[in-house]
Formats: sequence, structure tokens, C-alpha cells
Amino acid sequence: MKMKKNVETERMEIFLSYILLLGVSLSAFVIFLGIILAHIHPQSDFPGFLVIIKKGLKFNSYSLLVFGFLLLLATPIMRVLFSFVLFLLAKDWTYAFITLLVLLILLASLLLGSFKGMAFGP
Amino acid sequence: MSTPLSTLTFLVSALAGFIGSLLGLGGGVIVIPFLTLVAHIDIRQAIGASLISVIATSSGSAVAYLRERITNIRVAMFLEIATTLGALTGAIIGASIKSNFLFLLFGIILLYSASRMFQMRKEELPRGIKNSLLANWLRLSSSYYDTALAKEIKYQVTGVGQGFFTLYIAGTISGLLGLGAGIFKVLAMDTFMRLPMKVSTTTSNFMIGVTAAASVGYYLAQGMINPLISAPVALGVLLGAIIGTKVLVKVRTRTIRLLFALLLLFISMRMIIQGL
Repeated sequence: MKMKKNVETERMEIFLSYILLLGVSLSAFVIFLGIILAHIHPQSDFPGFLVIIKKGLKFNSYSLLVFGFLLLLATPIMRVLFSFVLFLLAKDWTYAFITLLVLLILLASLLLGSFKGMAFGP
Repeated sequence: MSTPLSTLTFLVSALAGFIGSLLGLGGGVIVIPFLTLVAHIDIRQAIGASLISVIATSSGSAVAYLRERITNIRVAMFLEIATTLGALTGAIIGASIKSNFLFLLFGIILLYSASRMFQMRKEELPRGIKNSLLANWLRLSSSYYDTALAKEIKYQVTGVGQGFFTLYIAGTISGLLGLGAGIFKVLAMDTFMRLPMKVSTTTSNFMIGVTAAASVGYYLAQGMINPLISAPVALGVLLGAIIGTKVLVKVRTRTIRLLFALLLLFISMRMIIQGL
């Protein structure tokens, strides 16, 4: 039983490291393309994430940068989400509950922060 | 940002990522002063770039530390309840507390921690720790292979309640001031929970990304994240963090303790001066 637990933990650690690796390398690649483009064709001042997203993402420096940063910012959130799923699959209810709680607090904090941030204005 | 300044930012961020991945921090300690004092960037955008630096250091170094099996993911996930709750509290109360007073208070706490860390510099591993009831129930004790000592290190965990409470406060403060998240995490795990130093720093590294992500909504909505400034920071920090992870597994714990004590001394002085 104890051995089985260790193998499960090890598998989970390897899986989570792949999630992080994927998020980090994808975002680094996109951000790298974006910043190179921005230096080749300098643009006007950055208008903000929402403005760029509302215009629709295209192949230009600001769109790439916004997309790359969203990928990077989503990486830790994905890590918590996948931890929750993995603990569920392992029927480890204590830790499934713990990670679900973290996920809910994280989302609440994100939403509250966004509303507060928009209400105060930049 | 001009191309030479971008390149310099990239290099300084690589140093921040290197130190951050070694000591369990996000690198804001280096990124914020550089961006404000040398690059003359607005403090709000510098704090935004520092948030990016935290998430990049955390995710980048965790890839290696998970594979090396040094990070204690159970400790991390349990304590993440405390840090995200803290960040949420910080978001609710906002920056209504006088920050000068906080700077002074933290400066003094960190100065005390620096002297403690220095006294403990000879200690390679904690000894004679028995699992507390809560640690047993949460199955927190674990082991890791220490390459520098060339042996498997088994350890037990105590002071879970104190650790949890300290991390909640640390989460709130870092939500308010945008700094100090990693330092207080390492200190709490080292001092109260008595984890081996390498487990404390790598587990802190693993957690800080999630704590930082909890505040991302506010930073984005406030326009504090400028991609042109944050891009060289993110790329530099990632490179530095990857190099740092290769070094951490090989160095002795006492080296890390000494580095940490020196950094604490430096930061506490800065905070005390800022608070006065």
C-alpha cells in the first residue's frame, strides 16, 4: 500500500512537470516571437490587454505578446486544475478537496481582483 | 523600451531567476529596483513585471524540481489554501493600511530572521523532528535524494498550524505590497515546519506561482502589465531559473542558508530605510 502511494505521487509529479513545461515553453516561444517583431516594427504605445483581445488576435507583435502572457499566467492555474483531477482519479479525497478549495479561492480572487481593478480605473 | 535596454533587462532578469530558483523566491527583489532605479520605469509597471517574474520563476524551476523529486507537493497544496486565502483577503481590504508601518515591521522581522538563519548556517539537516498529528493526517512526511550529500534524506514535519497561519498572513501582505511572498514562505517552512532547507526553497518556488496568479486579475485590469517591459523579464527569468535548478541540486544546504541570510540582511535594510 505504501509503495503504491509513492508510485502514484511520483507519477503525479512527472505529469505536473509536463504541464508546467508545456505552459512555459509555449509561452516563452510566443513571447519571444512577439518581442522580436516589436523590435523590428516598433508600434504605438501598448493599448492594454482587453483592447487587443477585443480586436481579435492577429499575427502582429501585440497580439502575440498578449497571447503569450495569457499562456504564462494560465500555467499555474492549469497546474492546480490538473492536480485536482489527478487526486480525484487517485481517489485521494482529502487532497482532491484541498486542491478544489485552492482552485475556488483562486477563481474568486481573480474575479474580485478584476472587478476591483476595473472599478478603480487605471 | 530600446533594444539595448531590453537586452540589459533580459540579463538582469536572468540573474533574478537564477537567485530566485535557488532561494525559493520570485526575483522581484532584483527586478523591481532595477526597473525603477536603472530603467526609470513607473513603479506600477515594475510591480506588474515582478508578478510576471514570480510566475515564470515558479513554473520554470518547478519543472526540474518536480523531476528531481525535491518539492513536497502535499505540503505545497495544503499551504496554497493559506496563501490564496491571504491573497483574497489582500484583494478585499486593498491597500488601506499604511505601507510605511508595514515596511518597518517587515524590515525588523526579516533582520531578526537573517540573524537566526546565520546562527543556523552550520546545520545541514534538521534532526529529531517527529510528525505532528496534523502532519500525519495530511501525510506530509516524505524523502528526497540529496545529490550533494549523495544519500536519500527522510524527514518528518511539525508545526503545520503555525506554518499555515504564517502563510496566510504572508499571502495577505504580498497581495497588498506585491513583495515578500517567497521569503516568508521559506522562513515559515524552515522555522516552524522544520523541513530540510532544499525542500523549503523548492516547495516555496512551487507555490509562489499560484499565489501570484491569484492577484493577476487586478494587475491586468489596472493595466500594470506592460508586455514590452515584461517580455524580456519573463524570458530572462526563465533562462536564469533553468540554470539555477541545475546548481541547487549540487550545492550544500549551508551554502544556500548563507546566501539566504545575506539576501535577508540586504532586503531588511532596504525595507527599514523605506519605512523610516
